[in-house]
Amino acid sequence: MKRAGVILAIEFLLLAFYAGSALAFFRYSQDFILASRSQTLPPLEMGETVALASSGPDDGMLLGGWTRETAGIRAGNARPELALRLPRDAAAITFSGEFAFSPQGGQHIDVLLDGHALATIEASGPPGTHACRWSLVLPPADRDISVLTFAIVTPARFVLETLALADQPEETTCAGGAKLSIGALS
Amino acid sequence: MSAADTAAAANPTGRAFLLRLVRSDAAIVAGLFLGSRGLLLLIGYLTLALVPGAHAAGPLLPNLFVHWDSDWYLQIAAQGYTRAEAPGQPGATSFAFYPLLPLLMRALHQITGLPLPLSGVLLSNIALCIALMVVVELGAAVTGDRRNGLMSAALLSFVPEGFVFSAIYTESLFLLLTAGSMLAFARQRYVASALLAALNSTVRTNGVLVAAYYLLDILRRRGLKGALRVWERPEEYLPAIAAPLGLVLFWWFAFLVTGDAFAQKSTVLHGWGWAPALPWTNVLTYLASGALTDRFWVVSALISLALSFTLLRREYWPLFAYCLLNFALYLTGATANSLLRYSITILPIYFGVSLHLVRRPLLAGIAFGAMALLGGFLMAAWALGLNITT
Repeated sequence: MKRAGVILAIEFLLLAFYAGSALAFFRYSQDFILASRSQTLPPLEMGETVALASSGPDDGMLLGGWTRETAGIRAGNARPELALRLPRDAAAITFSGEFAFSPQGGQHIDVLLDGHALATIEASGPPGTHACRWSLVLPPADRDISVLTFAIVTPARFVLETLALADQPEETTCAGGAKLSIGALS
Repeated sequence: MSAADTAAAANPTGRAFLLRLVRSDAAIVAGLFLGSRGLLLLIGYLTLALVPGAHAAGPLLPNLFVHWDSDWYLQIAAQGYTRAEAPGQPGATSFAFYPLLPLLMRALHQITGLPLPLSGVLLSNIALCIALMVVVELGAAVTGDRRNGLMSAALLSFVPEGFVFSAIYTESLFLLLTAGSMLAFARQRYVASALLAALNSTVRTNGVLVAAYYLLDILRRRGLKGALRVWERPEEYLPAIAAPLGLVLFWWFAFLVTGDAFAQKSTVLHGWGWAPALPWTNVLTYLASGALTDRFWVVSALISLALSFTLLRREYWPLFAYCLLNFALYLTGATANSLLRYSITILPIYFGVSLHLVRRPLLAGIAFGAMALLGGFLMAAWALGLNITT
């Protein structure tokens, strides 16, 4: 009987430890990679533009890295990242970019904000390079600096020419018969 | 029995003793271990010797079993955890890997003076050898037939991609701790089972899933009303409640070092692109991806999943549920080429399959032949350093 009581007490303590740990973790834990990024990447300011381009999928790592490193951009693999200084309220980010399709055509990019899925970009069209303008609407930020990640799912050459933080989203437009759809992810 | 027979039984001749030894479970397990590892070594050696352009970097042992993630475990064992990101792989840090294997590697290295790579390979193989013995006992305890335990150990020895059990990977340690905890639970050694389960969640995340098996097994044996009366037999619940302890302690360590309790999740997201998705979404994505390798891995995982249905019997449903939970977790990941490696550590599948093979020698022969063929092919790919297990 006494042994059972001791075991019950241990079990209760373990469960209490888990519950307390979970509360502490969810309340105070911060993604340490993003925290590091926001300290090491000079963030883009509202209205600022940058230029960058991928080297294409030929090196076997989807995107071998951006051809030009610019302030506020972290390059590497297929997950280039931008650090953005965002206003506290909702804002739209307007991109002007180009996609170059493989003969199969089509490209799929997932966009993450601070590690959370934000949108998915599906592009299709005839082989070649197509210039498009599109906007991403960001949810209200709970931090001064956020990190935007482009996860290139389907390899194709991807050029992001300009970026600007704007107040209003723009209508998506593409030249050369390309189609671009931007879907929100939950 | 005559006096002479009694004397002979009490003092067996050398030949009889040897016969008994060779037929013992320990000898069979040793044979399985040495046979399967020897075969893998031979395939690795022949691959490196015969394939044009292939060459071993250094001695065959331990280098044949030190590829890909092994380097991360070696780094942790040598330098501990660091927030530093890998050159050329932004976001990739050692926090993606769990601590028990590198901790034991370091301990073995310091005790024996052996180089770290050799300590790691030695540790994995010792863990595998003991795990096979435990699996025999566990298989016998679960199915009530020792032959099922032996068949399970044989399947485990020759399973495709089973070379990771000898590599500096966590699979064999995970296997040992899972089997040990389950066996202790089956024998009602609940404190031992709890300790092993808690250790297991410092090897891999899914070490905690054994808790679900324990709770469901209590439910199966005692019914819902009995299972809810925790205070009547609190010790039965100890393994399930203790199972997450290792993982939570690792989270605390990460929290104190990086400020991010879920540093493992953060780094696999940023460094490896492992964003979780629903299992069926991932399966359909892999199948439709067009990449032959992705299809191969996901189909092999689905075959493993199908094999777990051999446990769909009244007395084994908690084991079946445990398999399903593991697959659900694995299939949420974003990298297809780890799926088979993960699947082969789901122990109960071997018990389910052995129930069907142990009385069907022809079917067993076909199964082992197919496994040997695929396993040999995968071992050759591993020896060549092809990216099949990240």
